[in-house]
Amino acid sequence: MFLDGISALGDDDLADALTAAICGDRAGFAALWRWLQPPLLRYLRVVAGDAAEDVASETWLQVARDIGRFAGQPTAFRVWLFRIARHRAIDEHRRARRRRDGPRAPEAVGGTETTARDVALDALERADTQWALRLIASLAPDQAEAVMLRVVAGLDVAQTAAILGKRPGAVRIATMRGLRRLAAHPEVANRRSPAGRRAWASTGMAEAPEAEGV
Amino acid sequence: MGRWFAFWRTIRARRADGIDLDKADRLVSDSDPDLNSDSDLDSSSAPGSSPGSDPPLYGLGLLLAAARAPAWAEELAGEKEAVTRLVEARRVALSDHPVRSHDAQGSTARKTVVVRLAATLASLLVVGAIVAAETGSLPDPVQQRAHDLFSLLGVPAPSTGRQPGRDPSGGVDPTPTAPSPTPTPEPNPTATGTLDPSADQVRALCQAWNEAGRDPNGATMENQAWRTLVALAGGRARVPGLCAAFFAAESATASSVPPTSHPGGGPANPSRTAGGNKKNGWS
Repeated sequence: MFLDGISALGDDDLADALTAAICGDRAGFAALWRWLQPPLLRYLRVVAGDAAEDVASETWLQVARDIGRFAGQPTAFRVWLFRIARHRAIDEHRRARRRRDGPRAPEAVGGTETTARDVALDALERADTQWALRLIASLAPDQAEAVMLRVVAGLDVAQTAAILGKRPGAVRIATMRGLRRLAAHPEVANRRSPAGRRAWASTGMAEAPEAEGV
Repeated sequence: MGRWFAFWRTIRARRADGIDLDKADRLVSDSDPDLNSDSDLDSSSAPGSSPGSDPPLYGLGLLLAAARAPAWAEELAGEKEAVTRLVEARRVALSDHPVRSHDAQGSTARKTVVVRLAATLASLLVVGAIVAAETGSLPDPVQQRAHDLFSLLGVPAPSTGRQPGRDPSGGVDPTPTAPSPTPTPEPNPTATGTLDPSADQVRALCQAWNEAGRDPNGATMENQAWRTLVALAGGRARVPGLCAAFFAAESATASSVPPTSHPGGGPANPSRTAGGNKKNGWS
């Protein structure tokens, strides 16, 4: 039913690539990028919107510059990568806010960032992944980040807490609340399998759960 | 208690989504049985569902699976250019800060340890010298030099003469509490001629202080002389004790040695000084 997750990558394989990349080896960087760029890009699409690709590029450049100072294991490297990405995304938010506040900023006239992101995502609306990212991006920021880091980046509670600068308990609660909101979202609650649609059509049942205060 | 627990479980089970903290952990790690059940086969056993319908979390399961789905081609586009930029950035960084070998890192660590040890030893030596100077454990020439040096830091001078209560002659020690920077003169004519040179300085300063009215703050005394006297005494409060002890020792010496045996600069009439001391209640 479900496809293999993108986060199911072996950290043992990452170790060799990491060592090679520290020495400037092209194959090492290629392996790191191929394995971690997709989850990084999805995380950034949720937290940085249209700027995701630019922020991802900045993130990787900083990684290339500072990877010599990194002395941790592959798992720690994933935490380090997403922490850098989060900081770059925060910087991008500040720049975007300054552009909007500026007297000649054309974006200030056109509309909000959310609208721009929605337009961009609408182009690929039919893709289930884009649909999922759009719904997760509609959550409160702390819930969206917690869900993305745990589901897409494949990090555990402690690693996610380290990136977000929160206590593990707060991360678990944010994740739970995010999942509750997603489950209650009409596009999720009314999603039916072919068999479910047939049953629903034959009985006329509409058992979509109501959205709860979470 | 049992009824309350059953009620709580009932309320909990009535949540439409049934997502608590533990279930959320299972959902995000893709280990929850609701996500991995086949809706066509197992839906009839799912709580809150009817025969033929999907399990309650079917839509959420689809969403999470879509979020963690394998990479699509668009996400991996531009790999060649991206990796080229990374290799170039790494090359520049390496030229600025070459990667240190493990040996170099170990050498740096060893150097750090040696420097810290040396700093600790130097600190211990300085502290030890101060303590030794204060307790009078150093040889006399070194003791005097140390006293001259550390008295400026407020370290009190030790009593290098007889210890209080240990006078072999059974006499009363004139300095039971106040320290004296100079050895107490023995009632020996040969010893009186070898007074420490600083004794002249102390004598002159104490006389000046005495003639200035023995102001405890040295307000009526020449500034530099007062500072020197305070430094010699090891503190402002010790000046009266120092001068009292000094003049008492001088008077004791004068009673057995002719005044002419003293080096120059001493009081013209020690008995007068001693008498003055007694009059002032210093002894």
